[in-house]
Amino acid sequence: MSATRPREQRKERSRQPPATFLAATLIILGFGAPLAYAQPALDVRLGFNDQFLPEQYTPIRVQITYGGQPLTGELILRQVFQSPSGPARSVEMRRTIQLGPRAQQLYVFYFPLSVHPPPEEDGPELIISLTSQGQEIAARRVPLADAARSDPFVLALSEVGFPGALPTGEQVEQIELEQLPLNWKGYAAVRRIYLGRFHSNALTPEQQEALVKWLIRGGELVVFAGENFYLQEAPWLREILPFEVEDVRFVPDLGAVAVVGQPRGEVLYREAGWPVLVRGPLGRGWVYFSAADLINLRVTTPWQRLIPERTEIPPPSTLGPELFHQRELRYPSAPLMGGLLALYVGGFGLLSLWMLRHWIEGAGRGEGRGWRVLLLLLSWALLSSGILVGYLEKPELTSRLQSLEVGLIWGTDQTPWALSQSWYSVIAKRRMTPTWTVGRDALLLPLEEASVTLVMQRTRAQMAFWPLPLSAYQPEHLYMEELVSLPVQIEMDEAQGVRAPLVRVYNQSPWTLEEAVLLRRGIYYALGDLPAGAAREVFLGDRGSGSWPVEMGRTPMTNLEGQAKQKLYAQAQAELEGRDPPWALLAWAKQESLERQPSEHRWTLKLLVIEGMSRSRG
Amino acid sequence: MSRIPWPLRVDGAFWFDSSTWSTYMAFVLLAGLLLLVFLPGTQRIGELQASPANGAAVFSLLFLMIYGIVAMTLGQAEVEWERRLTWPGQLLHLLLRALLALVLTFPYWLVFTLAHSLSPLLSIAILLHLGLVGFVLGLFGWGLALTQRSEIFQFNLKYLGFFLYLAASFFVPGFQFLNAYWPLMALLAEMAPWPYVSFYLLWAGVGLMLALWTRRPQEGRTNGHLPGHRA
Repeated sequence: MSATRPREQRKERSRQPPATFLAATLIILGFGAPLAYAQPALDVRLGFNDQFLPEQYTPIRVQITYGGQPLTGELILRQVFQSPSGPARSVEMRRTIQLGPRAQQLYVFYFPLSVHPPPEEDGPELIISLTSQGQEIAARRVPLADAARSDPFVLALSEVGFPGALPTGEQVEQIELEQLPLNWKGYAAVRRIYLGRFHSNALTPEQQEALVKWLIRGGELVVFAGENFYLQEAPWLREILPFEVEDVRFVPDLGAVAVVGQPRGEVLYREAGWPVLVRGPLGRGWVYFSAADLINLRVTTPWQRLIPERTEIPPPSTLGPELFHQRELRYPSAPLMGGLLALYVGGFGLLSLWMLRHWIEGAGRGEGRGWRVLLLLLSWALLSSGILVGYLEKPELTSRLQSLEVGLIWGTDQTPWALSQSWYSVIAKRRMTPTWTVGRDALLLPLEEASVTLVMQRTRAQMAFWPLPLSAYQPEHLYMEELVSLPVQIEMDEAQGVRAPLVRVYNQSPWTLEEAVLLRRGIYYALGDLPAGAAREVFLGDRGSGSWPVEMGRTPMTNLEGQAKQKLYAQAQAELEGRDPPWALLAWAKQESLERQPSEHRWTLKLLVIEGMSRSRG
Repeated sequence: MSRIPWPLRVDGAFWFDSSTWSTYMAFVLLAGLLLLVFLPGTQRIGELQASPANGAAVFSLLFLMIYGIVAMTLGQAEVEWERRLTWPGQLLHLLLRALLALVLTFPYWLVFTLAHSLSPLLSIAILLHLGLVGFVLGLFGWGLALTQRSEIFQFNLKYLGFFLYLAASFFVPGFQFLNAYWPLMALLAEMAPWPYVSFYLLWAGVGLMLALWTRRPQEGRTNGHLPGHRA
């Protein structure tokens, strides 16, 4: 008995898990679980309802879940793609991030996604990686083929169900408040937003500003008021509505609850004398206000007024490339170089013959005159080199990078924001990575088939040029949009009695406004140059003329400045004719926004246009 | 005179004489013409062709070819100066004559680098590369002359051998590291020279072998006149 008991006890012990094994498991689990949690996890959501419009900026939400030690890293979004006809291109966005212990952080990027796959790959994809100290610690590849759509987004904000298809023929994506971009760039693929039964005050200040900026850029907001207005009412919305709201009540003529008040814009539809649909401009965009909720209204006519004139987002103009293609890539003049080189060779021939005769093979056979021979030859070579360098040392001949930066700044007297459109065209003869400062809000798009690697950070952008050794060069074109504050104020006092209309301009911008004119009823009134910080009062008497100096003659200009001015003015004039504002200020704004690179030959010009949308003071 | 350092304390013919003058003159003239022909012309940016066949690449290749021939010709001419290689006198004489040809084309390379937006200092690096190549080719030319074979044999070996070397090492995979053109292209493309260290080592080795060979006394091996005497 006594002999068998310990054996059984040992057997029983062997059936039970040994304490050391348990301890080891606990230790592994204890250390392993935090280690597993320490590995950052990336969760990615694309665009609106996981859809995106190719070649347009798309909101990309990256949520990082992390439980390790605090770390500083870089979150990188990168897409390499190649269209069937163009070269491979790469766009990259980087953001420095700081992760604390047990962090769950959300980062929103606005990225111009392409639908083209990388070279020798089947489908397009976006690569998201998190690096720290140069090491990749997490990565995610997001396939894009099934997420691409062909038409711009029409979004709806509503706390109740919103129809997916409208009588206007539009297909609507209903989104949540959290999906509203914090930056106007996030709306680049959006054409219109319908605001239904929605709590407008729930929008964060960033979301409100982004929405208003997008409208100024050219977006459309349709507010279905009526009963919804109890929720919709918010100071920021009232400010942009083309309607002075007085009351919300049941209107028997409409058979529905409607907002009653005074229209401040164009009335598109009236029912029994009640303004039902009103439209007002905001910058280059439009705000539609429906006094009643059209979804619940039985009349269909207002819907017809809402049918969009165009359903696609127009691509950026190619104004910059057109101008740049006219520019010359300068090289030394062949006849002049021929003359200089002939002088050098002829001089060498004569000198060397003279030396042969007198110092080398002449009397005395050139004993000890070697230093004279060498000195004369070197002096001739150096003198000729000096003359050649004197001719060649010009920026247009020797600069490694040539750029052209032209732009239009569109403002109105309605808002303190102006839309700045810039076209950067750059050609690099040698390997270069020019970097320049861009606004945090800047929307930057490569134009045409670029082959350059574009790296964008929040306030800087960088282009990497790798021209093939001594091969021909490829110009690269970028288009940039920004919403900039417009510190130029204009006041107009209409004519009173014998007094001519008076215009006051306060230029608090950093730009000198050159050749400023006020366009009013087809007449250009010269205001002269307005230096930064200057104010000027001008009576619009008989000083007007039928044309702006640039337009005069209408003959094609041969120099770059003339060509650029003509093209910019033609584009501005076409848009002004379309909108027909009561007046508009036009001036050339010269500014330096592209950082100067060593050995860079660049040229900048911008046209400022401020449209008078509100009524003049009479 | 004694204050002037050697090798400047030499007679005028140390640099060139009537037999080598025409070589220098032809080289300067031909290289100048090539530069003019292949210098790019002012062009509208919209009309730029994305073709890799560029004048700059052709100019540098042709320059390398004619300079190689000049260096070999100068090497062949050394036999009339001295029948065997002496250190430093004879070796330095060949090196300085080969370098003089390059120095005379320094204004061309200055024009070339500035017109292609390269640093003018790169001209010096290019001349150093070509100087090394030319020096070894000069040694080859000297060795060729010392073989005392017929003019036709020397002519054929000089031109055929050189162009075959350039073509074979340019096109045949695995031998491209031997080609003197690729490091020149790397310099012009502002790329790091490290991948071409093997070329420079090999080229220096070939130069050393040729130097050792030409250093031996070459008794009775001149081509028509007595060795060891200048004409």
